[in-house]
Amino acid sequence: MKQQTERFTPAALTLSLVTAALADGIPQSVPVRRALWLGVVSAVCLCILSALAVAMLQNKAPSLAVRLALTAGLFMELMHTLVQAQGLCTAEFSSMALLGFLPLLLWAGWAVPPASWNASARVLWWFAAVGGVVCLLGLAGQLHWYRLFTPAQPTAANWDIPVYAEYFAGALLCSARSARRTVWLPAWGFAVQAAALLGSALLFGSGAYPRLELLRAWSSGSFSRMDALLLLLWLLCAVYRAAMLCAAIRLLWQQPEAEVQP
Amino acid sequence: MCVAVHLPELLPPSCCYKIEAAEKATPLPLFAEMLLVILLLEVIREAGLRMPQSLGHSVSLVSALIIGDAAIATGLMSTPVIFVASITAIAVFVTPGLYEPATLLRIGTVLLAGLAGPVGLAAAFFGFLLSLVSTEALGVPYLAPHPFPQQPLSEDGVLRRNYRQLSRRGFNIWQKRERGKRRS
Repeated sequence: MKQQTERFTPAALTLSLVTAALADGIPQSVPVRRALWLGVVSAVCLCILSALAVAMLQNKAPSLAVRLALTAGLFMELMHTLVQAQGLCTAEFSSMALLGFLPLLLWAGWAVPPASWNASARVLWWFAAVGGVVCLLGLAGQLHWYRLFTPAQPTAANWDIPVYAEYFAGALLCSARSARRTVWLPAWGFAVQAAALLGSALLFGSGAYPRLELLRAWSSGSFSRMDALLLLLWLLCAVYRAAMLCAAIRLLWQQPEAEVQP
Repeated sequence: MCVAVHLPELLPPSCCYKIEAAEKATPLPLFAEMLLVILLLEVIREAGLRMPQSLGHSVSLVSALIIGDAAIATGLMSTPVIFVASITAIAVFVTPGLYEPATLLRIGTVLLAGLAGPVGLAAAFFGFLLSLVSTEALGVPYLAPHPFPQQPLSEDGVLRRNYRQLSRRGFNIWQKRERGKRRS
């Protein structure tokens, strides 16, 4: 009974992706129903691209160009997550402590093997599931379908969806047996973003409110504010994601390089 | 402590007001108060351990009562802090064999949460989680990668089964492992 020691599990990658997707969200520049349809199409396209990447990279040593591209992508995501987490700490908890912990966090991410992050992800998934249920229970009575069909909705020509490096790195970060499951990462990302967008639309209607307001609307009896706990949960996942991205970059460079054909 | 200082909205308003009022009446911040109470409790416990057994328990009890009462009466510590510290001190005795590591973990968590707030709490959580990941019992990791609804190693893990039925098949970890080896 040995733990998986070499690579990440799809569950660990999915948790990292869900954390990023929750923070980024779908831009509210277009009407909600249109955004959901565009999101579905984008997710399907990204799934196909991810499947192609898995087929190309599976059981093959990655070339230097692939490694550099994926490292750059993962590094950008690491920076983005750290900026988001620090922004949350400053705005909600009036704390700059994340900067102090940053060297320790990066060192832990670099030194701790993927198996430990896989085991941590399993625990964090339970936390995330409980957090999701708590969030739904607090919002249950306030969501109404008619708000989805309000006439005044924002209209804009441009629409973009976040693309993460994990979509294309699944074959290199996960074992050969489980790499196929990483093809569904874009679908997971879209599902989380769509749930947040739909919840926001069902609660507030067409107004482009910050996603944080969705948590602030939480209410249940004498406990009227649970947003801080859910934000703390997201912070846990963000710290996990930052450390896991460090481990992922290390894992990319640990793999043997492809031989260059003359 | 971290909830009261950094995440007060998690507390019901009436509870939050009471903690705030008690906090205003004391000169030290919540973090320092909690650390002081933990150290006091540890000193009392150590003194009780080193005294003759017939006196130890009663001296610990009396000193805890007197010091606690005096600390509140002089306004050095607030009642909520004493209350929370007492609960955690008693909770540690649920597993007496883990008293020392649990106390160290408690002090470490209080220090991290007090100095760094929610980020410190997250760091303490990950430190604990990673140490749990590296822990094994009889070669079986605490956080072994098995999904939740699965056939357990021991079939009477939750509900006690009939010993006669269980003894027909191997039901401890070593027998299970041997059977797995034979199958493979």
